[in-house]
Amino acid sequence: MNVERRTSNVERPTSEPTPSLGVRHSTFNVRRSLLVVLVLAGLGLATAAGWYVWRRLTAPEPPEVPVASDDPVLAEAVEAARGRVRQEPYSAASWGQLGKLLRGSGYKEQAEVCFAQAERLDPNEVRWPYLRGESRLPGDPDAALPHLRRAADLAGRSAADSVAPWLRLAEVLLEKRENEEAEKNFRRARDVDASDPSVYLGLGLLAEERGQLKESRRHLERARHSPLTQQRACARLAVVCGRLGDKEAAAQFSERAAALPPDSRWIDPYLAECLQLAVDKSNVFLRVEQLEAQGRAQDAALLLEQMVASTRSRGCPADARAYVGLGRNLIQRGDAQGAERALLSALRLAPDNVRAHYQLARLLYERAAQRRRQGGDPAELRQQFRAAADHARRAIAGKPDLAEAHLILGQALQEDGQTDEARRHLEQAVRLSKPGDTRAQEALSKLK
Amino acid sequence: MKPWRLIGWCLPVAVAAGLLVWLCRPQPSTPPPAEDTPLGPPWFADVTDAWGLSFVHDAGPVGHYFMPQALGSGAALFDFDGDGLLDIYLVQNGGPKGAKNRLFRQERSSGNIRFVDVSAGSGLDLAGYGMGVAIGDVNNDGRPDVLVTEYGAIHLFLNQGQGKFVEVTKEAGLDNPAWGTSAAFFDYDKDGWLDLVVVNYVDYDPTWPCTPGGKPEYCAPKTFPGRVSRLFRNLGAREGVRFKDVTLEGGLGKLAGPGLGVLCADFNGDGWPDILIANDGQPNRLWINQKGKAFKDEAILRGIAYNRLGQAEAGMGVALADVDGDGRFDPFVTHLTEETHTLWLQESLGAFTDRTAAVGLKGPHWRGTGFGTVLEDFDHDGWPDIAVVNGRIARASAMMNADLGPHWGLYAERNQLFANDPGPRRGTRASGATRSRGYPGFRDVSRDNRDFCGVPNVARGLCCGDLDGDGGLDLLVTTAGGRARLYRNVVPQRGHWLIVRAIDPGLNRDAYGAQVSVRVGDKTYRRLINPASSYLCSNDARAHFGLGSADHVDEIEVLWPDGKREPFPRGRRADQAIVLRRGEGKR
Repeated sequence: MNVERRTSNVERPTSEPTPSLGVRHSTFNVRRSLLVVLVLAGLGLATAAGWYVWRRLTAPEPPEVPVASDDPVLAEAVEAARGRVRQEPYSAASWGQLGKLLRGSGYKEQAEVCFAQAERLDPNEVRWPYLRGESRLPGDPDAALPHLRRAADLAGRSAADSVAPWLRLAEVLLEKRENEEAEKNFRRARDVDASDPSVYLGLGLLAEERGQLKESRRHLERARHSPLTQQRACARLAVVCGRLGDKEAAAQFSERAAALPPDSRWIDPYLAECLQLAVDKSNVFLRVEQLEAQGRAQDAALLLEQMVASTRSRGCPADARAYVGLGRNLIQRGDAQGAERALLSALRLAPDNVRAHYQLARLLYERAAQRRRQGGDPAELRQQFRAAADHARRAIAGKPDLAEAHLILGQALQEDGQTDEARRHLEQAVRLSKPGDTRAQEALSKLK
Repeated sequence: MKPWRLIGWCLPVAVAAGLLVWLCRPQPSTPPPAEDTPLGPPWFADVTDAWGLSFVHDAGPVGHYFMPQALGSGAALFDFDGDGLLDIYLVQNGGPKGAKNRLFRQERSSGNIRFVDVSAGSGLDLAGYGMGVAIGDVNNDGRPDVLVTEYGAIHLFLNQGQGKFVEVTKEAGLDNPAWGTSAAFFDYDKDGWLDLVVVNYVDYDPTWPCTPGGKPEYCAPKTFPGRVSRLFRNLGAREGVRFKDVTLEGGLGKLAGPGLGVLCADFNGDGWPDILIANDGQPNRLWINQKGKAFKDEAILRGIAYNRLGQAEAGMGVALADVDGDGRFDPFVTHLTEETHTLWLQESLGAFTDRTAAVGLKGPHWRGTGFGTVLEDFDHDGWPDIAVVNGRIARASAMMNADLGPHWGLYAERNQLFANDPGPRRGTRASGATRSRGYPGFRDVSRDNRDFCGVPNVARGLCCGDLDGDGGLDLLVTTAGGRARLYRNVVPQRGHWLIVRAIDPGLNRDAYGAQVSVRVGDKTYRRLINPASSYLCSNDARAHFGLGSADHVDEIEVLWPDGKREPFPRGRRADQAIVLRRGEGKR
């Protein structure tokens, strides 16, 4: 090996590097390459680690939300959603979910911050710019417009199946009297859903604004049967028909509009996502009202019972309004004992609550009156009428102009034989009654 | 590898990265133009101290969120002592144990104006949850009487002369055990006696808590059912003042609503005065007079129940003027910050169209929850301008004016002024094809008026009248829990003017409901004699005309409330206040 190496050494041109040098050089090159790779890898790792740390350190924090201490359900939901955002600070879905919860619960300002972040992370999603724009309404249509325009543009690209982006944009534009662009967007909405009554209401208003009264009437006629638009459509039809000289139709539409309840809001799928998440007390009370208006008293009671149970299980102070609502609801459903329990619970929380006292007075008076008709024990009946009178007095102490409480007090006192005081309260009830309400007058006549 | 070589490689990378970061650094934003930079001369100067008006509104203790305290109180400008100078009456809201309402007499010496407190012993110094004031001579004795609305009551005071008033509410048969707000005197049955309409708000329950967002707050009106407004017919005062409650037979009892503002005028040109009531969050009511027998709501039919998008808005204050010079009166109603204050043009007789956007009122410099409002010609160019006073009814997220304290400072907003520009009309009218002119154009001049508009306040009432006798209309602003302020009209180079008081000597009082028309060349200006407008307020009952460059008027005509027209053909020089007595013109 040595000979060969030596021989080969001899044969090598002198200019070539010596093998020992070559080995050293080669080793050096390998080492150098290794070092470079290591350095680069180190740099890369350091950069990645730095980037990761930098990203974590500079990750946007979810907004602070001033949730009231007596709404533990909302507080928990908000904290959970904020926690998810902290875990996944670069997830549009997490930010969007927090935004939706906040929007649904009425924290529009904080929701807008979340939607803005969600849009930065996912710029192709329609709902983020849409909800950003929506949360600026109705107060600031100028600020809402750029977001709504972006949403409508994205909806056009993704062939969205909801009319909401165009409809909302068109309505804001109509309000701002940018009629050409409004019409364009109403028509785009109509292309997506040709049966949407809000589109026709909008087109009708637009035509009326331009003085195209016949066209306006045609559009409004298509909107006058939907509960989403009927009241406004009939009110505008009254005016449009009047201008067209059709006085009879104008009068009919005017009467119909006056008799109709206010229109429901049009179905906005993006906003509905927010409202579905809403768990705050105000929204629960709102839903209770809606259910009661729909005649769904049992569902309303269930919601109120859930609210009472959830606050109780969290050791938070209960809300007297929930018990008052429950009491009223149970009276409607004929559960007098349950109602009495609920109303007494309300009074333990809020001893001066007028509605609770009044409902209890009414409940106790009616129960006693029924027992009297059935021939109850006079002494016991007197006690019950006195209890009703006491609650009526407490209601009057909080609200001296409550005609119904004066009426019940007068009637209860009459049953108790206190005729003079009964007369005074019935006279007061007559004075305070709404025009046309003759119940107090009739009770007073009977007393006389 | 030598360290210097490593450095040699890394350095350019670092420099390049640094350069990139530097290039991408956030650019310092160009400072926005100062929002409040005035562009023109101010129209009003605060003279509250200079004229000696010392009044702080007592709204009662804060913290309980007692709703009436957030919505009061009003004021009146009227000459209670008949000396020809406008005096001031201001209402308190602190409850029966709170501060008393105050009466200030105007005194002048050497051209200086002072308002002197003459409340004590006047009879008007009552305490309560006071809301509004209406002024009218209910017994036709030539002296203006005073009606005060409260949460839970109303009070009628007869003017005995010599600065003394006596309460006659019970004897007069007046009773309104509800939350009364604005009120107005008008002769709806044309019998010569002033009748009374009292607007009621909601069936409020002070024990019901409202906690939007979990914090205690003043309740929204929708929390409680609305109340019916009450109509009282004046039976005549031959044997003492007597009113009869005709709410039910008069029709007003048929529809309840959360009423705040009221204005009585002939809205359909049939010669009978009608009633416009602004409801808070519900459709307005336009009660059309059925020839003195009853009233029928025709607000929807006549286009004034809703805005142009068919939405009911939160109506507060009401004003009325012929803003486009077509001889018909156009109503203006103030609304919430999230809404817009709305102007309806009466484009054909008795038909109203919301033209807020068309006249340029849709994009003001700032928004506010409007209460009191005045539609009058402040710069005497012949076109009525708009003043609106604002103040929130729900807390703002940030302190707006710390000087008002930690409570009211969160409800403060800036007032607004809009100039009705006499220049070219805007656009082309879509309806009313016979007209070639476009819409009137309003310009927001709020930024020019630091005194009146620059300081956020919780304003409620706004009264208007020529307090200093210089022809320019001055303003009185009331605030919830704060000072009442006086603003003197200081418009430079105002045009000529004329102030007309119309008196019917047969009735021995101002002819409420009369329309005064002034002709200058081929232009006719029309005004209504009616002090009750704005919100909770009573204004100077005289008609005020801005005449531009005209230094005289060619003819004046009065359409008296009973429908008789009386021209006063003699030309008159401008820049004076005149009194027209029925029968002294040309029959």
